[in-house]
Amino acid sequence: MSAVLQCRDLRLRYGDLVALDGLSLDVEPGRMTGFVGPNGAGKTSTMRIVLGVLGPDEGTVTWEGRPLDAAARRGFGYMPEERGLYPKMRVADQLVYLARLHGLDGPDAVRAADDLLDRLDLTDRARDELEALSLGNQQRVQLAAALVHRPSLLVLDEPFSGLDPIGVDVLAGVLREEVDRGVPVLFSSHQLELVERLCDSVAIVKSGRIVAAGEVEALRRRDRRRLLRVEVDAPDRHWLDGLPGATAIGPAHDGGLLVELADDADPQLLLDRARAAGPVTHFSTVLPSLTELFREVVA
Amino acid sequence: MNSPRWLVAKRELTERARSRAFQVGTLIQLVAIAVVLVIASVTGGGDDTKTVALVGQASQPYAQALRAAGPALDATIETRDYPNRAAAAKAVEDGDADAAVVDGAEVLVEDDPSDTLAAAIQATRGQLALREALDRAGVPPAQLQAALDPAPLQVRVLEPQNEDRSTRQGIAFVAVLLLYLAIFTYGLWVAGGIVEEKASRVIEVVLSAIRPRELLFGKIVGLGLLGLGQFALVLAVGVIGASLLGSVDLPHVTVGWVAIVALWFLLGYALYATVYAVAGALVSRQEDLQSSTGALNMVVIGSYILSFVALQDPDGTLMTVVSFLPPSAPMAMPARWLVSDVPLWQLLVAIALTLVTTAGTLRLASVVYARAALRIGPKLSLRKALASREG
Repeated sequence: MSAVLQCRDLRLRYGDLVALDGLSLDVEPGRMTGFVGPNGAGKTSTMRIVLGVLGPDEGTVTWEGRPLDAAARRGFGYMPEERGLYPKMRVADQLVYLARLHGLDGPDAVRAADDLLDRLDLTDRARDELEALSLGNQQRVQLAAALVHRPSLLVLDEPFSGLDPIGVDVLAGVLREEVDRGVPVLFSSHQLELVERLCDSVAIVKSGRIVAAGEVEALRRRDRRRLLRVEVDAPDRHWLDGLPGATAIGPAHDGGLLVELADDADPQLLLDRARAAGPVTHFSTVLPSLTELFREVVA
Repeated sequence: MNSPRWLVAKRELTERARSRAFQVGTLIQLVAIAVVLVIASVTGGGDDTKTVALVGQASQPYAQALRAAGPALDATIETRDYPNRAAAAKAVEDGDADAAVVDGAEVLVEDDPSDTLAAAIQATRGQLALREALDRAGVPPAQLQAALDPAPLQVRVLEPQNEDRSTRQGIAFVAVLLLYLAIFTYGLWVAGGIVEEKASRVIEVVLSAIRPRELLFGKIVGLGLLGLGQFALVLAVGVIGASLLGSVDLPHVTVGWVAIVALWFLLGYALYATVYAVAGALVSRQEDLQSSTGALNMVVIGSYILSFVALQDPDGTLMTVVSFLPPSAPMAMPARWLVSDVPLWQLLVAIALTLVTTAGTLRLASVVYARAALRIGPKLSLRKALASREG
């Protein structure tokens, strides 16, 4: 499937500070895209440009092949990094208001707000002022504010930060539902295990440009290093001594020995050596985790 | 009514009307108006009715003559018969009557022997004595009537209008005060409403759906409509209350006057709301609002004091000047219009000047707002905001 949202060569400066340096990013429908990178790499700026609250110095954003305009943006849903809604406004009123700002008509907005409050288990708080809710429930309302108009694209800036494990599960479940409806979802996060678990695609940004992007699996396979995990019933590691191109890295966290192979080394020779030392119970290629990948490309 | 501007306006109006601060504020204003009206009605003024108690046959001729003397005392005089001196004295002491005439020979008043009512009774006695003397001398009734009730002298007014000028001036002072309070209060609403969205960070969510211009416009219109409603309510309660209590003379409150005050309320609000919007956009916390609106508050207060001082001499040069200058025109021009004859072209020029200025401040406000709305942090200077990029 092709990208519905395409950012091309975005550039943005704040005085001397270069925030975006030719950033290009694709978001595909029905996929969850994780947006990761160190602080200050340009994630929030990119999201703000997509939402139109910020204009780039250069570069284009297209939606369904056409330059992104205000009408298309009105359909987007956004959760900014700086959370906030009207503290003294009633929860349901707030959601209806935001839905209408996004273009829903009155009755439709009321229905959408009711459905969503039900989905997020907030129905009995609908008539309360936002500030009367617990922090966790306020975060749910914030999520509802991004979803209430049934957005055509969801952009969430650090949506998981500050959530307890149950909150994480609720949010992950809701986002998965949206993706299953065919909505493209882009979210940024520093919790890389979470991104690895939830996302279909990932884009790693560093200093205002994308340094790695694509399906998580493909990125992991693309890694230059060849790592293998070997479990063999041998008294020590000496069976590996003298095998050209093979280096023992240490014990793997899930048991056995982690071995790095040089590009020209043959894994079959490694297997032969291992079998000579004792019965081999496990022999596999190990892909780097997203965290390892991240450290490598961002370093 | 589905446009973002109207949605924002509606939210501003309903949410503020729902707030305790607004409800308490409105209540305080209504109570203040009621207190002023009651004090005004207690301290008199307006229509005055005085009652004279009459005792005995000899006092009866006073009845008609005293009633006729009423207008000269700026009062309506009524007479009431009492059976004896004691009853009349009690009525005067209790305040049921203001004075009593006993047997055509004695006047009873409560405490002040030189009371104007007592003086009128004395004058009436002179008139009655004269009539009796002439009657006894055999003057024919027609001549007697002519002598005692001559055709009134013709009154020629040398400075027309001067008559109710002080009343008009009083109303103008009240109008200036009300306009000042309205502009000040509702201007601060706008600044506060803008900061509120920045302080709670909801601004970014809203601006991801609509443009800054739409949000600003909706906010100013919504708060303005609510302000107009509150202003009209207080005004209506004041005017209706005053006429019910009869406490204040409202001689010529015409539709035209109300329209002029309402028009200048709208003009003044539009002008100052846009500038207060700029002041609000430059800060991110309610605590910083005072420093960013400080200079502007001075302009509003200064314009009010200037208009107030100038109104002492409604035809003076100062009044003419301040009624044209946009910062003070919304208070001074309607006040001047209420008191003196302002040529229509002057009114139109003042309106045009205010509108042109408002167009300028609105432009400034939408530029500054678009650039500063997402800036969270310490107070921005106006120059810095103008030099920065959007967002």
